[in-house]
Amino acid sequence: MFIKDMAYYLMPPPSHEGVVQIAPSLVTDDDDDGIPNPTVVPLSRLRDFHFTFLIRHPRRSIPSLYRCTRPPLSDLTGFHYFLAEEAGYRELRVVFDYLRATGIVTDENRFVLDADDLLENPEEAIKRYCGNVGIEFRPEMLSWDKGKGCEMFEKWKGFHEDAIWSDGLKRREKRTREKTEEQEVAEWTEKWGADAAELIRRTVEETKADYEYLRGFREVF
Amino acid sequence: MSTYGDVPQLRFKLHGSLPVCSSLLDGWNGSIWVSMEGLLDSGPAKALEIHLKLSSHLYIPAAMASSSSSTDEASSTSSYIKGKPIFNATHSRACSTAFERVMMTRTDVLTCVHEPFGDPFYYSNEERLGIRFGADTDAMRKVREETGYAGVSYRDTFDDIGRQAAEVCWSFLGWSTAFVFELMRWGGRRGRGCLSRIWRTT
Repeated sequence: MFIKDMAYYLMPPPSHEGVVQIAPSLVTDDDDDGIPNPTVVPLSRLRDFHFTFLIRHPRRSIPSLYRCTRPPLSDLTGFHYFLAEEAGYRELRVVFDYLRATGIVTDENRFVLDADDLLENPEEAIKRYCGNVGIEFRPEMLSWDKGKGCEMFEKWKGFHEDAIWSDGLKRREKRTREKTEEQEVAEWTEKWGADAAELIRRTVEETKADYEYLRGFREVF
Repeated sequence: MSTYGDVPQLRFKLHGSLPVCSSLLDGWNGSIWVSMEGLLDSGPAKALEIHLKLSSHLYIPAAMASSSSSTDEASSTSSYIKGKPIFNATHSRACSTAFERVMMTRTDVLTCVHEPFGDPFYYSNEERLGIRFGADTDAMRKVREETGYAGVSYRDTFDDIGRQAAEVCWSFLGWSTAFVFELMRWGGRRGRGCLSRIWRTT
């Protein structure tokens, strides 16, 4: 079984009032190993999974998230405004650290993949991932039929259009030079206005440290 | 060693220990075909019609797996990981759906579940955490109700994941049991010999 999900769905966001506690429906008696659990899921249930991690530089993910909250995509997503706490970097880092502290993620089984590395080395990245999770790699894993089997993405309409209508994972050339911050802000301003550009820039700045931290554990290619 | 006596043991292992379950499956995959070729010579081709659907990522909730009797095998890191469902944790807009599509190509070994915990996080009447649709207003209540997830709790989400996995698991159990019995029924003495060989390779 393969589950893909946002780490931030497993814990209260900064805006949440009240203390962090296990979801009432999941409360169990024997779940204390002395390390404070930052999630709403008991440790015994987290132990059921083999965790892997996927990250991407916020200078690419945050504008992409912003785009989903503006027309025309927002008509599909139902997300009509940008909420920085939905970026989810801090929560991913917190979950990662908790899983390491509790021994669920170890130096031996750890797998943190950066999306840039995935796109620049698709075959090698998937090969290594398969090795980590214990399934046999097949070259045909890198291509698929457009739209096929994507019914399960319907409930989060608008967020996955690119992936749904893709037909495979194609190797992208390595970036030789990143845009400067000024160039990026100018682009965002042109697309969405100065206020939006500033909001994106600030969110990228706020999430960068958590991204860099996780990136420190990444699979190197 | 009684061949018949091994059947319940197989069932016990499938229930009791994911790692053992996985390694058994791997062993079987290769052995079965060799054995069935042998069966062809002896007559009934019917056995060849039986195809096993194998999954190396069966999800068995901790409670069900608590009777594990094979700590030695479970301690091997690779097989230990192998039996667990994979949770690819990520943040927003990390190309994770493209990655998911890669894994979706492997329906032979994986059942994919897409962002299940967003349901209780955003929409649960009792346990929601996100503020986007969280306001206690009629308008937001209506939004939550219309998704169909307002009544969902975190436990429901886990139960649903468990149910999806159980389908795969029971499907495997059904197939494997059918295979074993068909092999014994049609293969006669040679079939039982094949079974012994399968057992020895696992």
